[in-house]
Amino acid sequence: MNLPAPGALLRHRPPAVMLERLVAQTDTTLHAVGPPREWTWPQLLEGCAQTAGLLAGMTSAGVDAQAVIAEYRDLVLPRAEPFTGAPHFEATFDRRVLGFCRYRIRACDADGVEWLRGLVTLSPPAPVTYEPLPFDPRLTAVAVAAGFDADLFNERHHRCCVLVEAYVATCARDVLQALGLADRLREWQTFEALLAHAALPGFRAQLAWLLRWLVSWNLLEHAPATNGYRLAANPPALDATRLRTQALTIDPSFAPAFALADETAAAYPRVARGEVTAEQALFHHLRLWESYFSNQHGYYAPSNRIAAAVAARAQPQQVLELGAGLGSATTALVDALDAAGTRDRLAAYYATEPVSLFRRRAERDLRRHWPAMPLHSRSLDINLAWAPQAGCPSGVDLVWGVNVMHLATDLNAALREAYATLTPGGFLVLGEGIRPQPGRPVAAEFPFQLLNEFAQVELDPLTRPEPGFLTAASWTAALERAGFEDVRLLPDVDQMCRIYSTFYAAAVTGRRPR
Amino acid sequence: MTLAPAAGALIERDRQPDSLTMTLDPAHARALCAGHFPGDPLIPGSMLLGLAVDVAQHWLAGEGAAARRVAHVERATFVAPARPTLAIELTARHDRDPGCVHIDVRGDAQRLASIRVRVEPAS
Repeated sequence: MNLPAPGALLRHRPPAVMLERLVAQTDTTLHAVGPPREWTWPQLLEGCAQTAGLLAGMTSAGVDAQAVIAEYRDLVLPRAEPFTGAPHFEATFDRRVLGFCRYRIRACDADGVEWLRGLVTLSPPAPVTYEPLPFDPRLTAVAVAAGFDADLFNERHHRCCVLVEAYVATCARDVLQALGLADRLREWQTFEALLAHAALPGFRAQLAWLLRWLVSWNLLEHAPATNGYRLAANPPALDATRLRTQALTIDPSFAPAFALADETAAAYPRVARGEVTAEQALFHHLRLWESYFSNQHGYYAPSNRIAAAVAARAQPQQVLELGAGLGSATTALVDALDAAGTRDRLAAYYATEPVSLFRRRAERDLRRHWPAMPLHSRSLDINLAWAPQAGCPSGVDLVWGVNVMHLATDLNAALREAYATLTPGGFLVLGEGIRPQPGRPVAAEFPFQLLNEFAQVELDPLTRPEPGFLTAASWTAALERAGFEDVRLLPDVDQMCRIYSTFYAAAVTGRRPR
Repeated sequence: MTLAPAAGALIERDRQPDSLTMTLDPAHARALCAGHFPGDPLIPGSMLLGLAVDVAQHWLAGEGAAARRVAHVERATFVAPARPTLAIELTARHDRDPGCVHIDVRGDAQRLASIRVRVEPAS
């Protein structure tokens, strides 16, 4: 039998190649010989493993020539001294379980005297670990120039955020599979054909988002002329488990981002088919939301910290907080005021939240932490006129909120209400995620775009072309339309997007003229 | 079994009554990757296992008990790629089974491999 040279089949190159030639092969066994020399037992083991690896790639029962070692088992090393000579290696297929193949291995001398025996399990080649683009330290410099701590925009956070985004791409891919669209996408499909096939007329915006998000990750191809989509020919190897492990190894505090993505991915098909509303599917997990919007959650906390740091610079005395939720932004502001040494100036803090369950919990926690805080817990719906609502104070010098104002049904009206509530010279500070370009999907929308509150806002082709997060330019224009002056985004998101274009948290600020 | 690590390949970092931790010299880690694989350096599992057994032997030798040797690797499971750029540490400690030693291999604190070996009196 003419057998190929091992070096032609192995990925290994000298000096890592342990096999000199293959001497015999059946469908289940491969024999090879190593070059004559002195061998340590790990080298004998490596020769056995290479023999098993070759057998795996050469037989239909094997896994792949690129297989990797998953496990050694029951290795017996009968002799203490090193081996000298040309070792004979033998690998025999033993069994296959869940894509893993196990082989019995032996190393002997020319007379058949055994020097090593045992079992090796080979696994299919692992998917490539996704590597985000290197972090650009100029991002930190932009943030520091705006007066933020360097740790708000650092490499660790950047890498984890990109890994979350990649993970959401795998979730979107899974959703298409669950909706029965993945197979159809092997061929070009128009958007309308996909919508019709899945019979999801009420899911138009969400399906469009899923497709655009997958295109942005090169998992789908898009033909703009026909609005057609199909699976990408060479998609990046994104493995959900690996992405999660990579991120949580860097920073375990990102766990709630993955938990919410999982929960959302599971809810999408049921919401799409109208079996449940997104609110029913997602809102019963109060603990999930509590952990997501927490200041201990690495993915979300910077939104609170950035906005709170800017709000604290106003040294406020009368504060109105919008959409206080479970109180994490309030806590961040109190911490920022403490750090600045100006909390004593606070005369009244109106923490407003329309959901009574959230409001009561936040009030309980805040009073427990800061019993002397001049806290007024109120209900305020930003989509109604503010002044007639019992929860709305007048004449405050700071109106602020984190991830609230982009949910306003009529953004212009809500900003005018904020303006009217401020005393002349008072500040508006909005903690918001900033969309890098119009129409570009962002990972944070994956759960929220299922919610009616997120999607059902009044759109305007010029001032608010899409629901959800706004671009920096849209925010600036919106605040200026409402009458605010000195409108800025901190940090300078435009500058950061020129360095690396992605979704950044920022404080959108403006001042009511004196 | 041959106890033949390259001189200085393993450096003792921490010895406790119930464990021994040694670090792998980065130059030795790189050398182990020669040809394995071009452009995708990975310490072979066989070599990592050899080093783990060396650590176990070193620990047993330092315990002052009757001479014992590793004769049987019950299980060596590899859970993550051992890249030569990682700071690799190998920690040997007693297993629940008094006849066994457990060796934990970590790279940059992430677990790379978990190994259990059986020891017997040296003849």
